[in-house]
Amino acid sequence: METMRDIRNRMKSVHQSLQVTSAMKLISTAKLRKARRRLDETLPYFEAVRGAIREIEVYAGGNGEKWFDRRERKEDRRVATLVITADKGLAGGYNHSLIRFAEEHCPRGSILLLLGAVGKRYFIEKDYRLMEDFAVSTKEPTFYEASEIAAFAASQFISGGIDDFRVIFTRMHSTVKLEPEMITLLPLDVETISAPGRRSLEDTVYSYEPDEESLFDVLVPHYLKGIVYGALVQAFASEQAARMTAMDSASKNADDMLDRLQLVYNRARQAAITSEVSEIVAGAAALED
Amino acid sequence: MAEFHCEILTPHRRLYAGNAEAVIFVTHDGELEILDQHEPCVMPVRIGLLRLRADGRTRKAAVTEGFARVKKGRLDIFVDAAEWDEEIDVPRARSALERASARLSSETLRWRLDASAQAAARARNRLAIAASVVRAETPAQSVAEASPQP
Repeated sequence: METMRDIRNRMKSVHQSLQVTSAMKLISTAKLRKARRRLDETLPYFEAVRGAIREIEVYAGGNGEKWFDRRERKEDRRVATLVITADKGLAGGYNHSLIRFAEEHCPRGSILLLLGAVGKRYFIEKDYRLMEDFAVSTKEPTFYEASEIAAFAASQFISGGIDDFRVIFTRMHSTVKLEPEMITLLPLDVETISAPGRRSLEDTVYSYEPDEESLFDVLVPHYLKGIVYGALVQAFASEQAARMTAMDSASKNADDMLDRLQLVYNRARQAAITSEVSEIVAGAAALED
Repeated sequence: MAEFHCEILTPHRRLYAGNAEAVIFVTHDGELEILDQHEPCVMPVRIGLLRLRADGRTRKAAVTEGFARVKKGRLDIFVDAAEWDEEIDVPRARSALERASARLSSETLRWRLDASAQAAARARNRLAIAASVVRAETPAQSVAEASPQP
């Protein structure tokens, strides 16, 4: 049986953990609020750019343009994936489920571009080729950083350094529903973008100014920038949401544990008193004899 | 005048969403005015002045690069950044211009030079448009002054 002091010590340590988790919860709640505001500002752009590109592409028809080039005959395809994890842990299943998702979708030996310290630590020992370390912290992503990544991907794609460019991030459907998602950005693909279930495309035939090729040279970098930035903002908001939920349940667990320990402590105290009383009684009885 | 729906979107905000009678902006070969019933088309948007006429009033905005899409009864403009003329942060634009000019004289890498030239063009555009607000009472001059930098 644990002594009263053991129990008191445990209660103290649980109480300290509780203080940490509830502080972290408060912090991530505040950060989440901020991140959500940014997400709300970005989302219209993110969705509209995707929609616009989807429509524009369908009518471009992908007739051998360099951005549409699927390079099907090429052996040893170089698939590059941008994987966005958090810089820190203690966010419940956030990093874990994203890493698992990434492992499912990226074949061994493919190229990874990693953002976030957790992903870097994990994948650095795995069987992947890592390319270009962007010194970008995944907290408070800026549009400038997104442009840098997008420009890198675009130039690598054009020069043949990579043949596919995809991005894996966590999409925040709601505070409690976070799901890893993959978007294929390059090559532009008419089929994946106009996947079934999407609203049917209106019958608009666009004319391209000044001409198809130079327009796409302007369009694609903007599209990449927009999507990468959107993904970064989504990932950051998801991370905060995941951390908030995780810390909330950790605080609840700590509370429950404290309650249970209090009971055990009371019982131990009573037992101690009872045994003391019985010792006194026994002592007194011995004297009387 | 016939109206159409216009949206100006940036990654940071939705600058405008509503009806417009005419929108004028800078594209690859100079200024372009979009009116209702324009043919569906897609074109690049360059750094410059954007003018939007709605309810008989013309508003001006500084925009950076992006693209625009016209379809039936609708114009969408996607740019990296956009501000209305009265919102332009002049001290910030001025210091951006200084930084960019300094880089232009010290950098040697081609792509960094390009980036600095772009940054300088953005800052100059903002300053020119902001300056035209201050002297808003001379509209003819302000338009000329705010015309895009080459």
